[in-house]
Order: sequence, then C-alpha cells, then structure tokens
Amino acid sequence: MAPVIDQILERLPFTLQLGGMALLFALLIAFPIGIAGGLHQHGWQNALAFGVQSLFVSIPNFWLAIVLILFLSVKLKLLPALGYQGFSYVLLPALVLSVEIAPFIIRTLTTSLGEVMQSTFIDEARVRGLSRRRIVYFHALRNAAVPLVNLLGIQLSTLIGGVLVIEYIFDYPGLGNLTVVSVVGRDFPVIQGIAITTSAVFVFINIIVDLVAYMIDPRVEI
Amino acid sequence: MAVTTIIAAEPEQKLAQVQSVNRRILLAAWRMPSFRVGFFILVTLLLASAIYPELSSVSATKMIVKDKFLPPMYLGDKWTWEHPLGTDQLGRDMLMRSLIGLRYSLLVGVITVVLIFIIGCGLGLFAGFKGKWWDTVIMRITDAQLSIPMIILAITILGVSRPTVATIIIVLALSGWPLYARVARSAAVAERGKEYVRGLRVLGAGDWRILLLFAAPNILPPIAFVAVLDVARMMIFEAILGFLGLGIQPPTPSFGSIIADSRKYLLNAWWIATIPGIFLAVALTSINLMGSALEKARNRIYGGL
Repeated sequence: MAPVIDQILERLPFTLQLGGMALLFALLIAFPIGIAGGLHQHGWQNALAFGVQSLFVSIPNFWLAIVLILFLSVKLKLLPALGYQGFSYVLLPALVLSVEIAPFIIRTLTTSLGEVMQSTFIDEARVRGLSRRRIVYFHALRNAAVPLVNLLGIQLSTLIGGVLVIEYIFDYPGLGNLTVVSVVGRDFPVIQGIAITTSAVFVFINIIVDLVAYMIDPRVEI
Repeated sequence: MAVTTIIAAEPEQKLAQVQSVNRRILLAAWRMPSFRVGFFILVTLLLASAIYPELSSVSATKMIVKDKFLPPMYLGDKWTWEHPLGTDQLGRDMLMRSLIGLRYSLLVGVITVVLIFIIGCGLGLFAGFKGKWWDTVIMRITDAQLSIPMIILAITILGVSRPTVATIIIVLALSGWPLYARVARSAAVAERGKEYVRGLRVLGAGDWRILLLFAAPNILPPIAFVAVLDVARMMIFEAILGFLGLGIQPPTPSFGSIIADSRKYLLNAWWIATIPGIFLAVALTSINLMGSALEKARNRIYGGL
C-alpha cells in the first residue's frame, strides 16, 4: 500500500537508465551509418543506410527481444536477461530498444546531412582550405543536427512505448513494467499517476529539446 | 503547380510532365526497384492470406494433440506435408495460424490508418483553414493528445474494456491522429494564402467549397503517400497489444498472442515463436520499402518543381 508517488519515484531512475543507454546505443549504431549515407548520396553507403533502416523499422521489438534472449543469454550465456541485479542487466534491453530508435536517426541524418553538404557554405569552407574531416564534423554535422534533435523529442513517445514492452519482457523493474502490471491488475491510481508522469516528462524533454536546438543553431526561433 | 525548368529531349519525359503530380509520383516510385520488390512481396502475402485459408482443409483453431510440436519442412524426422511450417503446442498448423494472423494484422493496420487519415487531416484542414479560435482550440487538443504516449493510452483503454477488433482499431486511431492534424494544418495554412484560393474567394466560393473541392486535392495526396509507412507502424502496435494479451483474443490467432504463448516452448520448439515473427517482419519490410520509395519519389517530384 505504498503511495503512488513513491512507487513511481522508485522506478523512474531504472527507466531513465534504460532509456539513456538505449539512446546511447542507438546513436552509436546510427551515426556511422547515417554520416556515411549522407556523405555518399549515390553510393553503396546510402543504399546500406536505406537497407538498415528498412530492416530495423520492420523488426517487431518483442520478437527481437525473445530471439536475443534465446541466443545471447540462453545459448551463448553472454549477457544476463531477466530481472535486475546490476548494470549488466541493462545492456540487452537497451540493445533491443536502440534497434527501434536507430532507423529514425539514420533517416534524418542521411537526408539532412545530404542537404547541408550541398549548401554554399560547405563549398566555401572547401575553398578556405579546411580539411574534409573538419568540414564534415564541425560545419556540416552541426547544421544537420537541428532536425535530428527535434526528431528525438518527437520519437520519445516511441521510446516510451518501447520501454513498456521491453521492460515487461525482460522483467526489468522500471515504470513500463509497473504500467503493464497495474493495467492488468486494474490499479487505477497507479495508471493515472504514470499517465501524468509520462506526460510531464514528455513536455519537459520537449522544452529541453527546443533549448538544445537553440544552443546548436541560434537562428532557430523558440 | 509551377512549370518545370528542365526541358528533356525524350518524348517520354514530355508525356510525364503532362500527367498530374500524383501520377508522376506513383510512376517515379514504380521505377525504383525497392518499390517493386516490396509490392510483389506484399501482393504475394496478400494473395496467400486471402486464398490459402479458404482452400485448405486444415483448421487454424482446431486442436489435434497427437500432432503437437511437429517441426517445419525438412527439419527433424517427424515433419509432414500437411503442416509445411510445423505445428504449435496444441497441434495447430503454423502456416494457417500465421496467415490468419496476417489477415487480422493487415486489416487492423489499413483500417486504422484510413481512420487516422480522415480524422487527423479533417481536423487539421479545418483548423488551418478556419483559423482564429477554431485553430487554437483544435490545435491545443492535438497537443494534449500528443503528449500522452500512444501505447500507454491504448493499453489503458484496452486493459479496462474488452478488446475486440473494432475496439483495437478505434483505440489505435484515437491515439494516432494528432501528427496528421499537425501536418495537415500547416499545409492548409500555407495553402490558404495562395493565389487560387484568394481567386476563388473573389468569385464568391464558400469556405467548405474551397476546402473540399480545391484545397484538399492539393494537400492530401502528399500526406497519403507517407501514410503508407504508418500501416506498418500500426501493425507493430497491433502485435504489441496482442503480445501483452490486449489484442485480438484467442482462439483467433494473431501474431502477438502466438509469440507470447510460444515463449514457454522456446527451447524445444523454436519455430512457434520464429515463424510468425518472420511473417510479420517480411510483411512490414515490404510495406516499409513501398512507403519509403513513395516518400522518396514525392520528395524528388516536389523538390524538382
């Protein structure tokens, strides 16, 4: 009979940890592929980016979770899967979640980087004699990052939905698991509390996203 | 739309320029190999799920316990031609169950997206075109809806009511419309200031007449091309709901519930979990390939104008 707020606050750090790791993995997967695809619009890199994103979008997350548990935890015994007893328990769920977010990052990155690379200030930077690496990472990527940051704010709802299912499958003690358990058990106060909390988090993160977008590119109007 | 500046030598190109924008987008998408691959895979799956269950004498729900855990073709020594993809824990044919599951999945996906499209674009167009406080009220409702994560809303509603095909579609549609409303509204606001709309105003056309007969045919097709991608998203949501036990109820097979039930038999009968997953992933990939090709073609045509 714990108060709803205590239950939520107790679970929230676990979910944030999972979400953060998933985002990190997704960025690690998506950046190399996305940048390569954006720089070589007509090469095999772009085809690869397209293929990877179509495949990743099409894999149902719960199915991937089960298959990964079967292979990585049960057959190969590389990573622990169920429950939570330490940091290593985050890795497998975070990996599954990152597959769900990565395609959106890849797509935005390829299209926006492709557009930015064709603009005049990139040509001008080449004329100034800047190295290709410097042009891509400091000039092009910074401009291409604004749509990406905005997208991450919107994709948060996908992430929350994914967290819910993934936590349920991996029996991870986060907010998502609490949601499923309380919906199945008709525990209305907890459901209300979670709905309000997630909406608040959603709004808060979108405000942060707007601020970050302004920090990256001061031309953006808030 | 504006006149293109590129004048091509081939007569084919000239022909294409005479056609309407939408037909050119479809044509450009059709020329991409990824669209064709996706299209043929999807048509094959559709035909299989429409025809095979009607012709075959095998039932998707009848349990034959002596046939349980039969492996798929050429695996092990117990497989039979009667069950090409094996049977599940209760002796039901996996091929049949997957195809029926695919039927429901596609049905839910397509109808939901059509509903979302009608509700979202209708409200968005209306808000963008009317402006003033209509706009404010509708858009604030949209924002409020957008801040509730879709899956939480769906799970909450389906958890307290009885999930049937109709309620699943309604719940998914209810939580999916805000993005369409936003896109349609911004398009409508842009369209409102255009010459032809002002011309029609001068001629004395009413709001509804301009909106439905002239503005909507310009605004909606580009949104509809991208909506194809959402069919895949809705199919995933349907499967997730099924997996959590809030989807189409057994004994009717659905991808989510088959995979959820099969978790217990993962080690000795891996195909029960894998086969519906592969069916779903192939169907989704084909839809996504078509959707991305349409999106690319749309961006190319609109960018080229």
